[in-house]
Amino acid sequence: MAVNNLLEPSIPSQASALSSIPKLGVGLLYNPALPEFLRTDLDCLDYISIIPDMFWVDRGAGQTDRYAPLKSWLELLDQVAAKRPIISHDIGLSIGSAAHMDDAYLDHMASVYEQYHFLWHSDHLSFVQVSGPNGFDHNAGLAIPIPYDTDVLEMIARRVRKIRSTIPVPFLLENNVYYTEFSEQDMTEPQFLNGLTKLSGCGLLMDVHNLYTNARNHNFDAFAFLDQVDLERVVEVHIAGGNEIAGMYTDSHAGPCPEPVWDLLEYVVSKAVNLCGITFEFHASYYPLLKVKGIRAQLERARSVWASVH
Amino acid sequence: MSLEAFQQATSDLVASPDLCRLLQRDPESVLSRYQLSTRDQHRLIDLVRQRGMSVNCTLYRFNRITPLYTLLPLTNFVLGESFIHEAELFWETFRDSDPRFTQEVDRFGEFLIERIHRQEIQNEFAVEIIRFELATNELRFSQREEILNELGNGKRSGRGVALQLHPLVRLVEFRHEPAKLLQLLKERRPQPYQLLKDRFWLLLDVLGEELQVRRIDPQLGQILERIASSDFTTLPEEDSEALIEAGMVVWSEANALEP
Repeated sequence: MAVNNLLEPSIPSQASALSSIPKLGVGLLYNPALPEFLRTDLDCLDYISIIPDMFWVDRGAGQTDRYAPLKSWLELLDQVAAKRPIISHDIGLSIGSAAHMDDAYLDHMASVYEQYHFLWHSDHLSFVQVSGPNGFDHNAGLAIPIPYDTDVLEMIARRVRKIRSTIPVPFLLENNVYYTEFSEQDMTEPQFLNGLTKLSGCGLLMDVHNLYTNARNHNFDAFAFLDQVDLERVVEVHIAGGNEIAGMYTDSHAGPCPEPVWDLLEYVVSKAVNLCGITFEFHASYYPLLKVKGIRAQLERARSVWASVH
Repeated sequence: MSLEAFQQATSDLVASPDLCRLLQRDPESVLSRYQLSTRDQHRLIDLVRQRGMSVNCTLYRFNRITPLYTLLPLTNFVLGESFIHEAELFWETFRDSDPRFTQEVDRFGEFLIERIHRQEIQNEFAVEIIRFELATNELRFSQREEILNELGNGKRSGRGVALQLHPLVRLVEFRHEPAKLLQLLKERRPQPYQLLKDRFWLLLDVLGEELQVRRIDPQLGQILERIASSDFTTLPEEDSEALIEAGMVVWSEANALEP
């Protein structure tokens, strides 16, 4: 296995690039239940993370004016962006797709950057686009993890370098949640993450709820996992809640964070020297469960963890 | 090619519990469909034996059904328990899920209407409700500002030879008294409903900031229906101007004459 060879050359400027990002604090991933909250309770947020894919309608590959803005959504975004930094958390890059990378999507992200100047941006270490019938892309309907193999690492690292050369702010990849495991992989997940950050220069978005979900379902020690990851590369942490589906615990963003997620958050915050933000995410359908008070409680607890170090 | 084929196979399995079962039962019949390495074949066989595969399949269904439930709520209520059955048939027919959720919803709506016309779905209210919700969604996601700007800057204000519905207007024909039907559905009252049967027209528009829905005179409905289907040969000029003034129609772009 040639992982060590892949790790050369590293990109020496990256550690300093990550350390120069402003330390923001605590944020919230935007969802459609939040407009009123953002109007009334913006004081408890240091930044807003958005999924830009929700703010533009994608008319599909090859269409002229492919990304059509949703005006009312962007008006709200403009109002928020005037008061708080915006962070971009993409879901449509499908960086792990073997078939091809969606360059038009990347160009669109670059135009979103020009508009909102997010301090960093991120996507998922997975694939969602596959070649469908007649060569057209089709949506796998689920973000499917990539195998932790050498050739996949090389492919994704190439793509990250392209992203970094297109959009001049740090790019992060998020560790996956997975309900099935691929056998006979070249690397463990921490080895893959470390190899990828070194080879490509990307940072990490450590989703500690994903990690908790994986550890619970696949019976491993989440803290031991974190000890194997180069936590200097972690720029953002996601926290969330989940629930059980079909006999497994899932990353459904179902309301408040479970207690073990807070323990993992404290651990990461104490070790991730380049951490710039903790983002709470919940699904809009759980707003009636959380309400304003519940969201504020999650953010305040996250802030107390953040304040223990910063 | 192997990674691409492996990803294709994985996504096919996630989309189909039947395919997972077939792979368990008769691996060769499934694996031979893809150009896979030996390792990839081992991985797929192992994958479908894991309990997490049922979670993947469940999440796939959840992700694909959510836009349908969200954007066709009344259709869902009208069809009741058969809605999920129809969705499964739709997924079986269209394995290539459209990443653009609005198109996916449109495609599902048209799929349902075709099945109704073939009498494979028996429900007297379904067609009008599906058409109503599809029209609502079209307007909700239309590029209102762009369209208004285009119409306002003279590009389409000229006198033309053919009229069309205003791009921010939709016409939906009902065969049952629409206000009562929509109210019953919103209140989630179970069928059957006793409603007046006739031909009714609702005009939907987003000419203002909010979606407006109004019932219009049947005669006007029939005129607008003919305009919408490009089936109009003559309309007195004063009637054309009145419809344009009311924001219901515009001169069609192809035939518009610049002022």
